Amino acid sequence: MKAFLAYCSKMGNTKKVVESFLKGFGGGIDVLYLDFTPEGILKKYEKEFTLDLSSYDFICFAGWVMGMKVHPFLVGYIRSCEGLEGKDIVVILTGGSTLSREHALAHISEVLEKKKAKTFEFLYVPTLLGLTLTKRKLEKVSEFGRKMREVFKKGS
Amino acid sequence: MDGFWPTFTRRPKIPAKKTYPLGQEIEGYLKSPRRVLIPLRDDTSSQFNLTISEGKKVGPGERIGEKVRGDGKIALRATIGGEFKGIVKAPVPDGFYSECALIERMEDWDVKDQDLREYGLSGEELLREAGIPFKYDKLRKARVLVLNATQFEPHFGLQNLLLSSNLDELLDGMNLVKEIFGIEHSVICLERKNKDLSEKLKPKLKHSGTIVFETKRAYPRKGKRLLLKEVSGKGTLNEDDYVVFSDPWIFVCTSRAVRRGEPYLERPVEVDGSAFPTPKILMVRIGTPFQEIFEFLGTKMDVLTEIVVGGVLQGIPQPTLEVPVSYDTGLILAFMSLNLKESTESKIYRESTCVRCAKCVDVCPSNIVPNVIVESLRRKLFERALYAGIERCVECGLCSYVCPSRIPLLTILKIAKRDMGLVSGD
Repeated sequence: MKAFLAYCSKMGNTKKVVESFLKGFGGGIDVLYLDFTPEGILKKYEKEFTLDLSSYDFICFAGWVMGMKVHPFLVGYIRSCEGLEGKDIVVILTGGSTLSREHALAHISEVLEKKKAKTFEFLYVPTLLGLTLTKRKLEKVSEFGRKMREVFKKGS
Repeated sequence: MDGFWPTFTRRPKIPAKKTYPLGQEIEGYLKSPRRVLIPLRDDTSSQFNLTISEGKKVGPGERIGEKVRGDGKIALRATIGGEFKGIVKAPVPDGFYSECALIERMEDWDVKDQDLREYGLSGEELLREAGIPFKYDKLRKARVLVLNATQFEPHFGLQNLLLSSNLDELLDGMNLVKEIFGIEHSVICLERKNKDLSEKLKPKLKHSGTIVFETKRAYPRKGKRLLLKEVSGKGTLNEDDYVVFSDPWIFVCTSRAVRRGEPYLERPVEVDGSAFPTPKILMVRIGTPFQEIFEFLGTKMDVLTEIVVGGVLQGIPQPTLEVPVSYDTGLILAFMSLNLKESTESKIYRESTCVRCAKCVDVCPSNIVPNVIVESLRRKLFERALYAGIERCVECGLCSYVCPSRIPLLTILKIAKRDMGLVSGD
């Protein structure tokens, strides 16, 4: 049973959320940081870089929301991935305001449906560019990570 | 809102440099590509003569013609053994379309590389027959031979590798050039920060007649004037006394041509970028199309998005994978990117107006004002651009790199200088 998490972070807020999630998850997960230039070009080849996710049982994507839509970097990566058919995906998104939550969920669900995958669990963390990313929120993310660990162990 | 924090406070001044460990070797050898496209022109105005006809079988190193330049002729040689299929027009790394000699390898045609010692040539004639693209007219006038081995491009580690692993041949080549052309002195310029390499070189160069000069900063390929100002310590000097080279491999080829009779058929090429799991240095035959190099290295071709020859600062993007390796191709960068077409595009990443932040002025090594020059050029005020110092531009690319408005400063300056007939450095 293999677990995978891909994320991109511009200001470091999504990275903090992902680190809290990984702390709760407890390890044993392949993590890929998608580091792009503004034109969408991958800056550096990371050892874990893959577009073929067919061998993974637990897949999680994390990114940020811009203009009430999931940022193109994460969407572009998901579009290029193979092996997502029939998979249940966990999505973690950060954004400036709580108002974007439903729009972002609709957008990411649409993107995943086109790849024949579905959004299994969704967590939205409003950060307001870091100003409202409190310790309590990060603890909730860790709790979410622990919950996902249980799901992963059960294999469902 | 793509990032509340202004992009100009976050963008680094210059990209961080990559260092290679000393002692790294060339990691692969693409000796027998399926075909080669040998560029027949150095630039759009140079001429060539071919002495073979279509269908002829040629051996590696066999003379197929000559390039005709202002300072004389340089031999063109087949870099693999095979059949000459004719002349085709192909894009070359320097950014223009050139005629190229297409030679396809024949499986049952196994011939050894030609030995130039059979012709009994020596001196400048031997170097011209070997196809070594020196600037012969400048070498004849020069008194000091300078090798610019400061690593200006951040991804370019090949120079350091050649200095550490091919030092004997490099020094031999420099000494041979000094002997042939009557040059009195030779200098290798290294950046002061590159202490490991300069400490390794200094004991070896002690009795070789070549000096190691530690520069305060790295200089771009066309920054001859700036480099010489630091090396000579003089504000004004006679530039004809100095000849500057940026490619150490040319001296290794000189040594091999004179000592072993080997013509200039192959060169080391560094490949880097996110399309490759690890950066590598390969020995390839001149004229090998990039596609063959990528196939040799196992690159995932469907996500390949951009190929740049020369580095992130001064590099030239290439239009296709059919571009061949030329005589001075040292670095190939290839990047992969993902499908962003149907997504939201941020307007911040498009070209916008100059905000007078002066970051280009801060970073310019020639102390000119790139944004003012580019604005003058766009308004066709060419005299104003000349007055503002466009001739002093060394085409380093730093202004384009730091510009928060994403104005293509380097591209505009390069095109304008070419159209105005201005030449900077060597």
